[in-house]
Amino acid sequence: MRFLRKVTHRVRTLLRPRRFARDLDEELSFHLEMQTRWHESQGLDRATADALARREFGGSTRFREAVLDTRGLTWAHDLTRDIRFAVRSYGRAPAFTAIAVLTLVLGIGTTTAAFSIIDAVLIRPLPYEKPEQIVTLTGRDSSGRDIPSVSVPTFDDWRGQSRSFSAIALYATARRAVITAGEAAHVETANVSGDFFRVLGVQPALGRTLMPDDVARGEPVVVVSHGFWARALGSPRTLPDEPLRIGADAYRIVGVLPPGLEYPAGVDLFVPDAFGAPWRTASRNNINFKALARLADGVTIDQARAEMRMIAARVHAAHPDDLYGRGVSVTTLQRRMVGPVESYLRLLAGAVVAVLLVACANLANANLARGAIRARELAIRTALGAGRWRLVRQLVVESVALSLSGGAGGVALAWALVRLVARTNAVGLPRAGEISVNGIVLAFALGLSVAVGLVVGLAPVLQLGRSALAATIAARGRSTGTRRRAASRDALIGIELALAIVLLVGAGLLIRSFRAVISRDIGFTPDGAVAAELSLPPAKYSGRRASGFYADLFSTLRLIPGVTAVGATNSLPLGSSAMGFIAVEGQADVGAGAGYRVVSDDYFRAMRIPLVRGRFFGPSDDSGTTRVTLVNRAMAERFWPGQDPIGKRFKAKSMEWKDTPWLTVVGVVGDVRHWGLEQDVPVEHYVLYRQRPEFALTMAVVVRGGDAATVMGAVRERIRAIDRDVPADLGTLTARVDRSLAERRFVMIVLVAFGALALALAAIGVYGVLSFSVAQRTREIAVRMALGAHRGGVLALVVGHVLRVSVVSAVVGLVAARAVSRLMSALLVDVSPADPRTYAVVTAVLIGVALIAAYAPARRATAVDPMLALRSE
Amino acid sequence: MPLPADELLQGTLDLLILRTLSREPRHGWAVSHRIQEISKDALRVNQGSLYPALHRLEEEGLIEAEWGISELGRRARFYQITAAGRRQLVRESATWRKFAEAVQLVMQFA
Repeated sequence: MRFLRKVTHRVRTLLRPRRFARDLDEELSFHLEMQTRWHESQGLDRATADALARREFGGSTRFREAVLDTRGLTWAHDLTRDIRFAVRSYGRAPAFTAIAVLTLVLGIGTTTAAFSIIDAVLIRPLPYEKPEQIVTLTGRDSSGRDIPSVSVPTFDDWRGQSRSFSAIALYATARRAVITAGEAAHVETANVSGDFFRVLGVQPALGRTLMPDDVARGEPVVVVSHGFWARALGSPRTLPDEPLRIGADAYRIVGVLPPGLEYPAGVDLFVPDAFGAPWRTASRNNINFKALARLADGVTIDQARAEMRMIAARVHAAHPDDLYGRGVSVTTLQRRMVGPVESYLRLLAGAVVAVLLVACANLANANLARGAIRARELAIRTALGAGRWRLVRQLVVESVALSLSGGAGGVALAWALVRLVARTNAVGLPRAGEISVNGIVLAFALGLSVAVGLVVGLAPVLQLGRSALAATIAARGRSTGTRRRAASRDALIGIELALAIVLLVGAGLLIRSFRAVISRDIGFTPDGAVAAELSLPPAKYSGRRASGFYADLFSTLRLIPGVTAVGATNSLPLGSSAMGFIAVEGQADVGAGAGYRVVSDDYFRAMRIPLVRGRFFGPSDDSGTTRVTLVNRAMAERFWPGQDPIGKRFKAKSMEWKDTPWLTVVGVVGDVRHWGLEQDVPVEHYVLYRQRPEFALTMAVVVRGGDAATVMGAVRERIRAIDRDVPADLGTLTARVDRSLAERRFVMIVLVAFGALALALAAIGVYGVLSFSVAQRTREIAVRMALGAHRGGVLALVVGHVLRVSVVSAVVGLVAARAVSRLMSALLVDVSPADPRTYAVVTAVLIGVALIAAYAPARRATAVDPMLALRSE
Repeated sequence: MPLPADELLQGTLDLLILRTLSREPRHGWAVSHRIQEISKDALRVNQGSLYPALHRLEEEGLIEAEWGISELGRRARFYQITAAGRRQLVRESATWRKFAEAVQLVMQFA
């Protein structure tokens, strides 16, 4: 209480310093008058009384200062004077100031931006009630690997036997056709079990969320995301009366979720689902579902893990042929969401800290140089009676004032960067919508600016401590280039160069990896083809009707000028893919797996996937004829090494509900890197859509040839002409491949940018230190030249200095880079973390840049006129 | 020879001011005059100590200040003891008394 009062009092005084001083003067003059009157009352005449009172009163200024001091006013007064002085002294050196502020803006700006991203994605709790209680439950396969999903029967066992959770829910996501305002579009939809929103603990923004009753009643109701409500429905104040058409069915909208919820990522619609037949009785290897649970109050995640481990062991014992339910992982939802990007964010944080350190080292160096130049000023001020503390404060105030103005610019930069990252979100950051420059971020930037200002400002202070003042004055500021100081400036430069090397090696390794990745054979020709991902409403296109739709579409698309081939697949490369278990005739491998894709006859021609052996699918293959399949080269080598796979047979177990017919291999096609350029080629086979119509509802049509824009327009038009309710997402295959590389490209660009930034800052540092040292040594150089030294010798002096520093820091930097590169080996493709070429190129670049930065100061040194220097004495 | 009050033990001046204000609000001059008068001129408070002390006590919330009209008919700053100031006065008076007695004992018997 008393403390609070004292603070408010002081703040009030500080806010009105003039008024306070005026009041104080009035109070003191009143005292004087009273004293005079008193002396008069004792019988003195007015003049004598006045003189006596004044004498007794003493020097009024002394205690006036004392009062102001108790009120903290002297301090504030000195501070404003320091700041004014700082502004003046920076104003006298505009180039220095501009470079220093720019350095600070870059250093603080990038660090603040990185902090706001890391804070929003990694640190801040999820926007749910007690988010630490929400966990994901995922299965494990036979090799103990985490499988991010589960089958319905296994989930039922988990739900029935576990006691650790207050709620447990299942969901599955799919893209579905939604028709709003007569336009069909794909919308990410989640089918959720009754307790889904109880697990998340979400309060709706409008209406209600889904309840277990909704599942029981089985009425078509839907809860929409805040984004969908705004984007597709136009943010109505009440729930719309007209139903939402999902596929062929009408759903009543019963609620809107609050903004900022992004789980599951990208899902806009939530519909209730009992996950009954056929899922409940289907194979335990049908794992298209995800499980979420909320820990009961008082249950720790470790207790839940222990319980689930026992349950999983029981489930596995009861169902030994279950391939994915062999274990269970209990992971907090936050961990699960951010886990995949954590390594990127760590890399980002590391790069940002390195850049900040380089920036700080640069400024500390600049301050050292300035400190040396100002040594005389400071020494004289000390001699004139300025307290040591007062000088230290002056220097620190100057430095903090500078770093605060850099910090202000940094916040602006961070704001721009954060917007850019959140908007483009190339890395697919979870929670990107939550990234913003908020109060916490501003506080961070402020704290960082002050910290940088203090650290950087203290560099010359430490020197001030050592300087012998009298000697400094006597030598007219020239004796300051002592060996020790030059060494500390060189050390700072060395640190900058070493940090730049670490960043550049990282960037170099990522560039090499990127080049390695894009030079890999993806297995098809992306250029010159467009794809339309579309989905048919199941109610309208059961059985053979889907085949009819595609036959119709293909024949009209072939007529577009320039089009050479039209094909379709249920899943395009670089997207999701289905894995299945197969049983090869005459082989006893139980766990043998292979991916499968459902395609049309001409798919391989449209994609330009080469035929290795045998034949493609043809018109003679139909629903009534022998089930045929094409295998990729990897599959042929995996199951029939050294044999001709044509005519061989296998069963694809997970593709079928009940009976599993033999599939006969009729051809071998080239390998496609379906899971991405960075991944290995999966073992895969293809089946014909006419023989598997139930998989043909969601297909991507690939059109080869023609001008991309015209073809896309024509495709959209033809699809609409056949059925207005079929949505299509169009794009070129090249864009699809680019998108799959976006994450890697982004990380590479970030690291290259930071490496270049660090290198530029280090170059500025080298230039600054050398310029300073040449200026300081002008007299020495002049004397040397007067004594007969050649210009070459002088040049060698300066260049030798740079080479010494940069070679030493290159060695240190390379060792550090080697250590750090181990940490990023997960990001490297086809390149060793110790790649000698990268290290050599980076070292050469670094030493080259250091020498270029040294060029101008070195020339200035050789241009020193011996006579001028000597005369100036 | 009057004793300048600022050469007293630390805290004593605060105590004297609080005591002086405990009866009625006074302005700065009246405080110093009162101390001088009561001590029969034995203690004289230097203005250089008085005003910093008054302002410090005000900051600490032990006294409050208010502008009022003095006997001269001009504006003067009047100081008044607060509840916290009274509590402080009681505490410090007791301490002072103990200290004074102790010094007395030592002077007598040492």
